[in-house]
Parts: sequence; structure tokens; C-alpha cells
Amino acid sequence: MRKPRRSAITWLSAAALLATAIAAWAGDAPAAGAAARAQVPAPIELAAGVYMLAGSGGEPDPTNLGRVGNAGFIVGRSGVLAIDTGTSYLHGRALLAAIRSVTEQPVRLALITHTRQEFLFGAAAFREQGIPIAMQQAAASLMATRCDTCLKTLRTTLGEDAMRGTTLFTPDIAFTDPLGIDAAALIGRPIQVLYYGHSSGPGDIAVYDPRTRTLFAGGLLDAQRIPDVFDSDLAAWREALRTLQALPIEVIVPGHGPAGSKRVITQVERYLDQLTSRARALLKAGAPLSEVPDSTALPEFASWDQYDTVHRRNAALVYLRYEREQLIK
Amino acid sequence: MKHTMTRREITAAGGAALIASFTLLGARGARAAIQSGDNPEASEIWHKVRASLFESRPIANVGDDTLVLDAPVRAEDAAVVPIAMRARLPHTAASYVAKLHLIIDNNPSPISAIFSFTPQSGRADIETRVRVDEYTFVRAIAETSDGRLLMRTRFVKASGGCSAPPGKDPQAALASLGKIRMRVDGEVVLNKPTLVQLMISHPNDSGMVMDQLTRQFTPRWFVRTVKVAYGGQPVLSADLDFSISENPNLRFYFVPRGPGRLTAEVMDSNQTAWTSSLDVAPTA
Repeated sequence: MRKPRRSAITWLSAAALLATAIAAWAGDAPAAGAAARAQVPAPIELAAGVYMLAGSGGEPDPTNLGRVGNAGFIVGRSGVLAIDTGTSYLHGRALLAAIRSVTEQPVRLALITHTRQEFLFGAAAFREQGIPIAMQQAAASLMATRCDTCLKTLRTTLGEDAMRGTTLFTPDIAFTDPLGIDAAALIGRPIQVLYYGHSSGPGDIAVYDPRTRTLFAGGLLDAQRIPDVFDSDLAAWREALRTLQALPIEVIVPGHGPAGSKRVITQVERYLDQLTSRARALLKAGAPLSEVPDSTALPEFASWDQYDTVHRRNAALVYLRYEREQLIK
Repeated sequence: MKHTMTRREITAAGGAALIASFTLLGARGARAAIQSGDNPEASEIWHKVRASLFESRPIANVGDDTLVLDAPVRAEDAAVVPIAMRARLPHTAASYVAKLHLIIDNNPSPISAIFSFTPQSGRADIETRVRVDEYTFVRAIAETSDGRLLMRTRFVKASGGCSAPPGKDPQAALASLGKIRMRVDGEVVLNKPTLVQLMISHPNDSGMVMDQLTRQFTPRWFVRTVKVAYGGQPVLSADLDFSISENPNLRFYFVPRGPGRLTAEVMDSNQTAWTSSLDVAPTA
């Protein structure tokens, strides 16, 4: 299968163009935990106290160890908020070591932005250190109904070694009201948890740092990668993106892909609009499902990660949703 | 995707609906090792299906000039895999393809569908959507009106995995249960094969999906037969199994010999029946 891949170095360079401050490379970091940290790229400081931990992109495989999604953290006066936990216990440990390489502050909380394996299963490493895990209730429910299977599949794909110590878990905090997460009190820095209902997925949240105008977009945005519409409510997602456009944002850390400006939002909007209008046109024309993936070629996005796989599935999914709408109306 | 069937689920729930006596337990080893390069003739499951459906009758492997089997090499969504079987032989009152069998070797019930045609069908040509286990041979077997058996085989990979659907609304699905939508696209021309799309709102539960929270299996409940006639003359009869995807969808042909009514009768595994009709006025 063809899979466009971007190396971590490319991502780092792209992010560096945008960042006002560039993270120290591994050489500047303390020696402690070097072995574990060696497995994740050094944290990139995108803004004062705001860091990105870049994932590899691509599809999980034994080479990238499934570490395809981004993570990040925000350092406050009295603690650290971790955003997403990685794909496995070992990945979670490596992320924690990377946090340790830039701050002595204790990690007070890990927020999981959405229910995808590469953001979830590092939780075991955080909990081992007594760090509570928080998720939106709907995301936690979806994880409970689905992720047993994801974990089995990951073990098969990545191997027992890479997945050792990784277990399905129940979050310590399952919140319905994002205002219930008082990060200001936890880490000594104002943080907003943004929740737009079932948008890109049930319980998907974003994390906004108003001081530096940084957005950790979670499942709401991917950059230079085809966003997966499988779990989405497309109309609500599109509406959430309009709301994000109105927010003052300097830097976006997407779920996958390099950090970027608001252009990341515009690109995802363009993708979703083209995807949905093509699906409607094909349905109207009476095209059979078998022709839909080929007929939904979108050249503007052909260079994006997962174009040959997720995009084709998106095309079929959206077509089937509109068909069902037609059937039951 | 709701209906990705893992090997574990298949093993737990094995068995066949179209042929009640058919069991897969003896064939587990063969299935675990299947690869695209394997010889489809060596499939143990196929030998059982073959014996039960066709006994020892000869089956000829044919090319695209005779029978086309359209299936994706790698399915976008294992729960909704489009499959088409298209006979290329002349379709006349004297000689036509009377049946198309769809066999999915590694599905829990391999005999997925049997479609029967008449001279009024105009073509033995059908597209539908099925659930496919991860690696399998898919077979189309045509049976001609003079009793010949012709086969095409394809290897299909479907990628399942981390894919249960988020928050489906079973109430909304039940509210539209049995709703049928028939559509004929474009100009309908007298005596020319005309494409029909038939969609049925039905969960088509395979009985293979366990709710990971309750550890209960959703009971098996699926559309079993579809009979379509034009002006009272049968054009398609379908015996379906639970390999067919949720909201069963069939695309097939009929020949309008004059103005008339296209009627569809659908019955599910609970013996609940629904009907729908569409008036057609062909132009000369």
C-alpha cells in the first residue's frame, strides 16, 4: 500500500518556521531518561511554555511504533498540563521523559482530546505516576465500546514488545462540562477546554492557551493529512471549524501533521467541503458505491498523508451517509 | 463499522443460514493461513460449499469476456464492500444466465447470495454490498439456463480493526425499518435493459457483533428474500444471507416491454414483509 510519510525532521522544520522560539535539541536536554526519550522527538517550544511532541504521521507500523499522532504540554507556574498520551505505555513514558527534559514542574493532569488509539494508550504510563487522565464523557464511552478491539489490533500490528504494559483503562475524570476542568488552579495558568458537542468525533475536545493563542486541536484538525470522518457529525464539525476561525489563534497543533497557522483550519474546511459536495453529486447521479472512491479524487489533497487510504474510505462513508439520509427521509 | 467480523466472533458463532447443515469449524486452519497467492481451488471451505450447492457438476473457470466479478482488492470499509457480478453471455428467452451465486469463502456463512434471473431481466448483472472478513476469496458462479456452471474468483482484503461505530441511534433506524426506495435513472427505453436501484432500510444484523459493554450479541436479523417483478413478470429473485451489509442495496436490470409497474417484495428473517412499487413509462 502506498503511504505518504513525512519524517519527524520535516515536521520539525515546518513547525520551526512558525515557532517564535525553537526548542532545544536533544543535546541540550538533561541526561535523565535519555533511553526512553530517544524514542520521541525533542519537544518543540511553539510559544512561551507551550510545547509540541511531534508524531511521525503515516499509519501505525513496527517502524514508527504506532507513534503517528502529536502530543503536547503546557507549563504553568505550578504544574504541567499534558495533552494526549501517545499510543502505548512505552510511548507514554517517552512523552513524560520529554516533558521532564524541559521542566521540573509536576504533571498535574493529562487531557485526552479524542478517541483514537494514538492519543489514548499511553495513559498507563501517566497513571503509573499518579497523573489523572481526563476525557469528555462521550469520548470515554466510545473508548469503552470500541477500544478493546483497537488494542488487540495494535498488539498484532506493533508486536507485544512495543505494546507491553498497555491496557484499556477508564479515565479518572470523565467530564461533560469542559468548564469543570479548572486547569488554572491545577497548573497556575489559564487554559480553556473547548467542546463543540459531537463534531469530528463524540467527545472530541480542543485545548486553547489564551496567553499565547495556541490551539491544540486534537481530532478537530489534521495538517497535511486526510482527516478521518468515520466518527464525525459532519455538519457539527463544520460549524465547530467556523467557530474556531473566529478565535484569535497564532499557532495550531493539529492531531497529526506539523504545527501551523489558521490556514490549517481553512484547509480542513476546504477538504470537507469538496468531499461532501462530491458525495452529494455522485449520489444524485446514481453512481454505484464501487465507483465512489475513484470518482472522489481530489487533486488538491492528493499529497496529503493517508490520501490513498483514509480519503477513499471517507468518500465511501460520506456517500453512504447521504444515501441513508435519502432512504429514511 | 459495525460488522467487521473477527475470527474470534466467527469461530464463536459459526454456521450457515442458507445451508443449515454447513459448518466452518473443520476449516479454521485453512482460513487462518489464506493469502492472495494461495490456490483458490485448494480452499477447504470452497470444497464444502461446492459439494453442497453443485455436488460433482463440473465448474469452468472463465474470463472477463464471459463473467465479470468486480470487487476491490482492498476494501475501503469491510462492513460495506461493493461487489458486482456481470454475466457477458447473450441473454435471450432461449439461453440466458439463470442464476448468479455469490460465495465469500471466509465469511461465517459463505453462501452470501443467490440471484435468479429470467429472460425479462435483460441481463444477469447485479451489484450489491457485503461484509467481508479480513482475507478471503470471493467467487461468482453463474448457472446458465442449460445447466452450465461458470466461475470467477477474486481475492479481497478488507481492513477491519478499530472500527465500531459511534453512537448509532437504534430508534431512528427502527422508525424507518423496511422502508424501500426504488429508483430508475435516466430515460427508460422500450425493450432495452434498464438499471434499477433498490434500497431497503434494515439493520441486517449478522448476529456476530458483540457489544463490548454488555457482552451481548445483537440478535441475527436480516433481509432474506427480495422478489422484483415488472408487470407481474419476475425479473429478479434474491436469496440473501447476513453477509449483506446494513441497508441492503441491489442494482439490477429489467426490460420494459410496455408501460407497467415495477414491484418489490421484501421479507426478513422474522418473516416480516414489505412491498414497494414504481410506475414506469418507457419511451419507444
